[in-house]
Amino acid sequence: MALPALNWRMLTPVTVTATNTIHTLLDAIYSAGNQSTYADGTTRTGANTAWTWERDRTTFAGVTTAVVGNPPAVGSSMEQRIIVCGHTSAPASALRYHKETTFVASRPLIGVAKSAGSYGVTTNWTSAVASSASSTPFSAGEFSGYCTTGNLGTALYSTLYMYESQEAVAVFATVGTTVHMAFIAGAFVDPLSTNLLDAETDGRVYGLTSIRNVTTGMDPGFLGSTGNSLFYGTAVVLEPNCIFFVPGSSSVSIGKRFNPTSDVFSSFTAANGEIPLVPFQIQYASGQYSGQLREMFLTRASLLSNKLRDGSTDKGYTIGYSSTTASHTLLLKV
Amino acid sequence: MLPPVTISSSSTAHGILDAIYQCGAQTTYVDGTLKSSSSVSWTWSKDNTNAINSGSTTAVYAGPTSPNPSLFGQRVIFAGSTSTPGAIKYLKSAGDTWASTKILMGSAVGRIAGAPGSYGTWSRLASDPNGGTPFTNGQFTGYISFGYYSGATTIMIFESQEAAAVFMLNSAGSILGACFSGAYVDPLSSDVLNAETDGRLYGLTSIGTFNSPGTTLPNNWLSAASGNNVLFESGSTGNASAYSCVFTPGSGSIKSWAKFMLYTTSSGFTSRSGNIPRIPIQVKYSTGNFCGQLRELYVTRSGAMGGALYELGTIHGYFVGAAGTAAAGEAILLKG
Repeated sequence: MALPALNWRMLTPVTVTATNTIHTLLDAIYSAGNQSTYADGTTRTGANTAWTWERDRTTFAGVTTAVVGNPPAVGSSMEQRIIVCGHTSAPASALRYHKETTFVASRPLIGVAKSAGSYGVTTNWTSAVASSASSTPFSAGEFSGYCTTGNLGTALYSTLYMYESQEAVAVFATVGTTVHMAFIAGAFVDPLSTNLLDAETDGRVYGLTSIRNVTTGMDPGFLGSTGNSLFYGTAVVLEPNCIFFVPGSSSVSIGKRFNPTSDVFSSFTAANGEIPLVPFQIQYASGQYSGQLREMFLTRASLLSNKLRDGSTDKGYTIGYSSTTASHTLLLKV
Repeated sequence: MLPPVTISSSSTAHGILDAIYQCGAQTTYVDGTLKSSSSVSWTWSKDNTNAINSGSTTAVYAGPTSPNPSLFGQRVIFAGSTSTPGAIKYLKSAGDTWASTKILMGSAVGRIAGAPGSYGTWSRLASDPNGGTPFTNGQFTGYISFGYYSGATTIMIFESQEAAAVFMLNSAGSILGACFSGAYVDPLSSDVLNAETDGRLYGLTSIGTFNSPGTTLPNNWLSAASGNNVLFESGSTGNASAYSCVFTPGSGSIKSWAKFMLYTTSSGFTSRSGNIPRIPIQVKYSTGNFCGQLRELYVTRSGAMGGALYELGTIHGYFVGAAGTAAAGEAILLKG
């Protein structure tokens, strides 16, 4: 049986402060995630899709070096968390990475946790250290290890886009008009099974996907390419990430899309102009089936942050690599 | 699924057509249930009186036994002969011509009561006033290659309420000829630009005869970008390449389509617990427009051609795979 349907909502885009440091990028995520209304003007406070974001300005006094996303109190029971962090200089102890080996100044790091405890009381983002395979930024639970996305060293971010649903978050940041940082995290894959080999005890699979660290931005064909794309995990450092917790375990498995496509056009509509929503499947690197993206569909070529409307009703938000040029597009269904 | 039938004589097209008829005319399905009490059965008939090769079977045709009266009438037809027919109607404008070494097939639909009517003759000329349909009225796709029959040993047929699938296999269980016919594409829309007035799209897919006789459906038929010799594709090489099409809603014209994505599967394509995934297949027109989603046909793990998927003693579907062994080739599941 499929999991409950998610409802994706769009936050009002946030301009990244012109000074552009890892700290201002994290501040932009914090600002985006703490707005009281959605981009469509509806009230966000108290909504069942509203995540709560906290930020860490004490680990390195006076600057934001981590933001933590906490899900709304609906859906999942696994106490998942999303953390995005980074700094201009390396922490004292080597961090625990998913696959990277070295800290790079100002590069955004992202990780997910389940059964997580609190943040910032006894632990912080520097508590997940390479010397301990079970270490986590939180006071308890399992942690994925840090993945990377984007490269602040060469990028001057312009705008940050955030989308949220009951159980997952998607964040994109542009340099000019092109996405240079992107991640989706949380329970965004439905394993379509409740078997404990396929899903956690709450029926979910938790993980993240992020684009790689290059200066050219996300690929126009980011739903089909093996370059700077989403839903395409590899074990190679600095390449894209797509990882999921092994159900019932603290370890993670690499995932990738099952059905790559290379031909999504603006003409990909029905004969009468209706816009198709094509479900998207994920498999593990082993070739085993992982699940289906939740309320995220491949659709006709469109732009970043456009709305799909039916009459006066929002049906979803389009995710493209650019805010000015249409190519591969993921639709987040409202 | 009907019990597979062994071809008693594969030296001519007549023996192949006899086997198709024999397979379709059986009274029970492979699971032992009666066709007569089933809502999915098709009625199969044959023509062995055509003057081209009188006394031999030169055509086999079929349609749903108890069609839903709110739906359009439909037929599938297979034809072949040792002697050359006249200028019959072919599907492709460039022609996909008759040869004594191959079997032809086509689909017909009728949008009026009783259509597409009774069988007339398969060899009706394209120039005939009724447009070359083998039936008394309705629209006909025209003929396309079903496959070369050299080396064929077995016929396998699957039926559903609104579509049928026929396969011609060699001794290894590999596919020499294959087609689906009927309303097996769901347009997921009732708009009359997207669907017939009964909400369906009617058409066919066939692997064609682009390759030489004896060539079988390749193991990578779901992931191959080539449109030749595979299902759910429309080849770009003209005559005899694989072809998939539907009738343009409300029209007698044809629109070709192909699968929207490429799918690479293996015998290990299961969930961690061993559950077998069922991935829906979307198809798009050659114009790039969305066409629809295949009905109860799913990409799944590798499976032996014709093998049943059992769950707790119940058949949940049948595999259509490239090989007679489970280990090789990509496969789809026909949901039972």
